[in-house]
Amino acid sequence: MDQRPRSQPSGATYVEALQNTSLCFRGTDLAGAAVTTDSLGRPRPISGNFASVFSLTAVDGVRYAVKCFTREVQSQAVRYRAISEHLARSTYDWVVRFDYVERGILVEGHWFAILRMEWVEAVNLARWVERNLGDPAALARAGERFGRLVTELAEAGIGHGDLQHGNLLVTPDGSMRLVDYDGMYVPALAGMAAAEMGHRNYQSPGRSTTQFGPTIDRFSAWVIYLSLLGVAADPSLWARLRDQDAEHLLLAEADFADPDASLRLGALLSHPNPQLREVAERFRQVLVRQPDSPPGLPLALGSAVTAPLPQSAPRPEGTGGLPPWIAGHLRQANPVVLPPVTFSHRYPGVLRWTLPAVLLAWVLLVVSAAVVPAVAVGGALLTALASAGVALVAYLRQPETARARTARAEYNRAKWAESTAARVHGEVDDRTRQVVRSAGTAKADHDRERANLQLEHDRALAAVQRATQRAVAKVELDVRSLTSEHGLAERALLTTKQQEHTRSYLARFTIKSAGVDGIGTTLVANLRSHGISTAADFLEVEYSTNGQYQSRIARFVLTSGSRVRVPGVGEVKAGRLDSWRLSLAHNAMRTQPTALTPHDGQVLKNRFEQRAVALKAEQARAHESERVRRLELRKTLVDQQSALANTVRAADMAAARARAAHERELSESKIAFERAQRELLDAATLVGSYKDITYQRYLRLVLTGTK
Amino acid sequence: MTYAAEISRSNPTCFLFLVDQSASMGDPIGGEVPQRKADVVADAINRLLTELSVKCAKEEGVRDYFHVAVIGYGHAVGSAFTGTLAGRDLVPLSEVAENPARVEERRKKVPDGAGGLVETASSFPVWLDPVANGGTPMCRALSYAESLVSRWLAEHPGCFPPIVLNLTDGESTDGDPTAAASTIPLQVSTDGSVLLFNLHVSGAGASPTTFPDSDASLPDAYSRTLFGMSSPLPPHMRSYAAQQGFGTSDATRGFVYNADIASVVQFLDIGTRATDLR
Repeated sequence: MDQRPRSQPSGATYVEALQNTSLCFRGTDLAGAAVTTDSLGRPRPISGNFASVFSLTAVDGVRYAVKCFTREVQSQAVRYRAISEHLARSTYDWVVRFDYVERGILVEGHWFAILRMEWVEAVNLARWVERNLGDPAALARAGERFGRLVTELAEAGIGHGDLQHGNLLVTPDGSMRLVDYDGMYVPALAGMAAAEMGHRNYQSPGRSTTQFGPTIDRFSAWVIYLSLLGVAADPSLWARLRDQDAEHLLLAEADFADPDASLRLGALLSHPNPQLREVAERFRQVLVRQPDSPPGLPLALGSAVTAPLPQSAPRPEGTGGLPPWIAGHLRQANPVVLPPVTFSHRYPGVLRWTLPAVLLAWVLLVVSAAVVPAVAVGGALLTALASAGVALVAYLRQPETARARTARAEYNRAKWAESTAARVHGEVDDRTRQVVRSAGTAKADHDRERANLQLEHDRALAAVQRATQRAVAKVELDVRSLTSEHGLAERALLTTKQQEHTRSYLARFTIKSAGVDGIGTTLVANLRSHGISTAADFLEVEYSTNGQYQSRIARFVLTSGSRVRVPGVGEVKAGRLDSWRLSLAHNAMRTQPTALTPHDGQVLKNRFEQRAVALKAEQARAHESERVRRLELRKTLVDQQSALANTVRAADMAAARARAAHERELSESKIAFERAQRELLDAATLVGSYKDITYQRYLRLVLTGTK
Repeated sequence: MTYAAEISRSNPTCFLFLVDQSASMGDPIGGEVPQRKADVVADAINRLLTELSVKCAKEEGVRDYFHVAVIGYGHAVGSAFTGTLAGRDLVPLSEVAENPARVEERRKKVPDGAGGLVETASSFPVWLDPVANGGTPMCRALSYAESLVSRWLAEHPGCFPPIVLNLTDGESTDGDPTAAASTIPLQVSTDGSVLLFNLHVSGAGASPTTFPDSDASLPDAYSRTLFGMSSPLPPHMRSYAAQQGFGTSDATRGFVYNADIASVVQFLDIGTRATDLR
């Protein structure tokens, strides 16, 4: 087991070793440290591609993150020493302090290096963004903070090598920490190759390990920066552009390889926020023109993306709260109160004398009622009616009465007009809201439709790809069976060649010149007449018993398979001939070919190669048809997308027009309503001043003289 | 390009272990320490399930990059999980990690780093118990695997292709497995066809043939059949195998013949080596 170089322990082996920290850290200051455990009570790892990290609290109470390496990294110790020295001189707040301990952990009798790091209480960037989607200001600060971190890395001449959401931690106070320095470049490492290639969703498709220098993070920095600006400008992008639990921010590997087919990049390129659009466009240029040597981040432009926009004026909110533009037109809440109007005359014109006379008659009647009650009662009633009628006429002829009537009629009209205007305004307002709402619904519909187009395209593409894979798999299987068939054919051909060799060897030996004991000229002639002249002419001798004579009969098995009995050749002589043949056959075997001649092998190989070529061609056809289908699908998608874009544009314009028209109507109805309100208020004021111009009041005036 | 799909929580893949549980698995495996073949295979798979769980552990716990099925075939064909997961086929890895049937305490002597030996105890989660009983219905096991894989692919058409690892010690008792095996690689995702790797456990202590690239050196028709059923290793597994010291070529198959204890472990390690995890 130990012939091979000792490889790094696996994650599970570390988990096992860490169950006894007094042993595995024997003689170090981590001896006896407490390990954070999982639900099964075993050391709880956090694993990456090259290592597992464990949380340990040393006996002195200090908590560490201890990194145990599962894969060997070329010149790891040299790298870490250089990184450690370089970072020791810096004062950046994102640095996480560490010690590279070469005799770090004892696993199954061997010491392995560990990285003992300061424990940082923080969450990774993707989870932090998810938790802070409701706080665009915090997201904007994170973008800014990240921009500063990138600037600081550049000024220190450091390339991290694997900038990605898992290596950027955000602490509860919002500061950023950069972890995992396995792939870090510092100037002392110039000339080495990169130790790793970084996260696939953050790297240029062309990144290779030969690129190792202070600018290796440029591409990933763009990806992270654009993503942070994106979510800060529009947090809804997070859910729209990512699957839940996806291992990327707003952009992923597929977007870098094929920017034109990317829904995610497309969404950023067509975002309503013009500054975000501009940063996205610059990143698209990077992808198309210089993915392997991107420029630095556009920090000035970036800070404009999340700058607060000037607040646009709020729209009227219906009859409830009036918008500011209309408030100025309205009367104050406490309108002017006019002095009350009173009757100017006790009796109007002609009635001046009639009225007192009638009243006098009524008084007299009341007095006479004591004498003749029945007549008196009737008379009194009549007189009362007459006097009431006279008073009514008098009341109606008062000038104030007419004016009060006009004021009341005007008030009723104004009241009706106001309620009509309110209703109309309400309706217009509802309609306007509906227009706004349906524009919103249409937008959501279009968004969904756009996503569906992409989904359909992706689904169709997946079907095409699977069809190709199926065809390829079928061919692979055929190629595999071709290989084994080839082997079989080679073995079969060799056997044939060996048989031929034996036959031609045996054919060189005639029975005539063999000198087999007892086989004279006569028997040679007999044998020849039965087709046997050389050792190659028969394969063996079979014997059978003749029941009649109790003797054994010998028959020669010819190469044709038929059996012959040769007169004069009995059991004994046939046996001699057989052993003569066998010894010759034995010699033939020693000189027979043990492998195919290059020529024979080549002929066979050619035959199989032709079939392999045909199969390869089939495979190539499958790939070609996929390529064609892929282009067709892409074209369909682009066509559908642009058709949809046209529809959306038309719908947007129609919606904008309808909205403008409705808002105009709304403001007109608002003005009409306001006018009606004002008129109602005026009418109410006027009506209020006539509240004493009533019949009752008039009667009181006539009878008592009090106004 | 094939065998390059990202394996993530939103695009997981699956492993299917087919474990021969026929009566002959009760015989000892070749090697210095006599151990039953069934014990070695069960231990190796239990160990591998721990290894996978550790590999996929992140801050918040084990991530479901993989779903795992362990299918036994012997007196019956079906899930070989015991305990909470008994009867389940494909189980998300986080659930596997949380639900071993039991956690055994295993004691062993290890070097103490100062020239001596010291006995330590460590916990060993167990999901699968060794079973040796009945025939070797390999054809049924393979078509069971095919149906699981096909269901998985319907739901995850863009995944890294599922990997089926068949561990056996004898000839199929329900017919020539070639036909059943050949339908498995015809199951495809957009990233390539399903991989079928085979391991034959030796009882004789003959030297193992690991990851061969032709059947020329194989002794008989039976071993050639298993070779023929095995998929070639995809490039990343090939380079990992090369790092582990195995000679490889384009035609190298995921196949081990006459495996001893060490090569069972290596077979599982190399055969479950997917693309980089994130």
